[in-house]
Amino acid sequence: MAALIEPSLAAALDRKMALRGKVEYTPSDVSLIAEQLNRFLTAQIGQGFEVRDLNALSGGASMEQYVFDLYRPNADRQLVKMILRMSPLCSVIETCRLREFQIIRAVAGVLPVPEAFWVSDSDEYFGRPALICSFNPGVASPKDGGGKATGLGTVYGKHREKLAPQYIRHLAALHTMDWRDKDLSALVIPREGTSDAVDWSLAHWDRVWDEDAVEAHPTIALARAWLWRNRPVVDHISLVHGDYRNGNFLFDENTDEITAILDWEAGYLGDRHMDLAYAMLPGYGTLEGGTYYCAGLVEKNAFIEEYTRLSGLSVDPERLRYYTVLNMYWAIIACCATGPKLAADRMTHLDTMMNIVPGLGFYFVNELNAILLEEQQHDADG
Amino acid sequence: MTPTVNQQLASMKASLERSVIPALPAEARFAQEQAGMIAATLAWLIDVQEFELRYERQEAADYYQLLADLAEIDGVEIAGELLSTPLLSADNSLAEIRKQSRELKQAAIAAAIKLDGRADAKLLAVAQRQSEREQAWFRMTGFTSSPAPGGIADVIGARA
Repeated sequence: MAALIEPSLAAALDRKMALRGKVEYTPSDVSLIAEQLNRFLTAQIGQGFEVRDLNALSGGASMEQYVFDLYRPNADRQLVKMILRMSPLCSVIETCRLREFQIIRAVAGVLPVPEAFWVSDSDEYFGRPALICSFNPGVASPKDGGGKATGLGTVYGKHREKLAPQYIRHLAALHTMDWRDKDLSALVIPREGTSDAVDWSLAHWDRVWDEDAVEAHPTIALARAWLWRNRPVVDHISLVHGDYRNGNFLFDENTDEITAILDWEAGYLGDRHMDLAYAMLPGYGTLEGGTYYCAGLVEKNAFIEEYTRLSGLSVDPERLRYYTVLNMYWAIIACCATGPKLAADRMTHLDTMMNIVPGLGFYFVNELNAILLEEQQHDADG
Repeated sequence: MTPTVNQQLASMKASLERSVIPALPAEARFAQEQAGMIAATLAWLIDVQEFELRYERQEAADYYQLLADLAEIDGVEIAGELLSTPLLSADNSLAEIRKQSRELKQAAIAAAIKLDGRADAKLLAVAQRQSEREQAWFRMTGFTSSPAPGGIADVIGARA
């Protein structure tokens, strides 16, 4: 029997396939977005508001985003800066706005996150799913430079020392929080002590590859077989961020306080090692002065030691290795299959970028080949 | 033939960077970001575009050889026409060579995986050679491993 794909994620993939070959992306007219936004907000809060300074937001590789001020003269907070996050026609990673909305709300109060106000999970108001959250202050990377170290990720320079402990503390808090009393109805809860969460994740990414890849790839074929063969059980079900790395949080450059953890759309219930391995991926770290910093922030051993101390959860090297492979597997699929496929079909606002992202995917292919070689040698040694 | 494709790409990049990007309004950040990516892509194309046909031919040759190696293993059935059809020459079109390369790749990978581990080492060796080409082809995207990969001309030339 084929493994389950979580229904909300399967629906997002179904939507992509239904659109494929039938429509191409056309730029949104800001006046149309304003009209849609007004209609949606009226349905949520009635009259007595005004949308001001609506503008497209640059940056990011998936969502189509607009920033605006919501003015409500009779509300406690008269002026709130907000972001409208809309699923593009198709995205390099198909996700679900309702999941994202529920996860942000679930972690509010535990971690610094944007305030999630409203979600439209259908095409009714915007022609596609969308959510509205607060625009949080802070920067994703230092404006005062810091240079480009060897490596691919954001370099934090003088800010690293204060940011690193917060980065680890927030991850530990996420993985130990009690999510069972939260509304996470869009997510399926895996059984503890089973490989449910892994099975669903593999089934999901296998489907994405099968639907999006233009040609076969040996590393994907080998990694897929290895991943199914070596599925670990999940000993403790955590809420997993799914994209916990440098560049996906905001901080105040003056105080070095993390002001918001962003990009929750890949979140799910599963194994903490998924986030840990992802945060340690070589593609996102930086090599500075001969020292390698995971996510540009912390050395690997110090990361594990502090995370273990704060969370009380163990970090198993074997599972860390498994989830390193799984993270590379999905990153390669998104970058090398989905990205160029979307560009070929003219289905995003980021066609040029979608042809560039395979560069990251093939970087991971090279890394993954090295791991697969070690595994083959390990097997050969018995 | 003049102008060459590379000359045209270089001219487009220069016009974009000298005339178009500076004229974009400061507040048009998305348009600026996209224009920057187009300029970077043009530089990347200049680096690689002459080698696309040779790239595909080398890929086809690698998978033809893998398929031939797999055919020697007991119990492996390979569609006869794939191995009896000779590898296409440089006189063929890029589209024809790419088609052959993809068919060989598909068949070889599927056959190797069916062997349940017995051909994994052979498949990984091909994957590593392919990765060298991929790293070289995409080096201008900025996602490079350490040590930095050589140019695609060097990688393909070394195996010619």
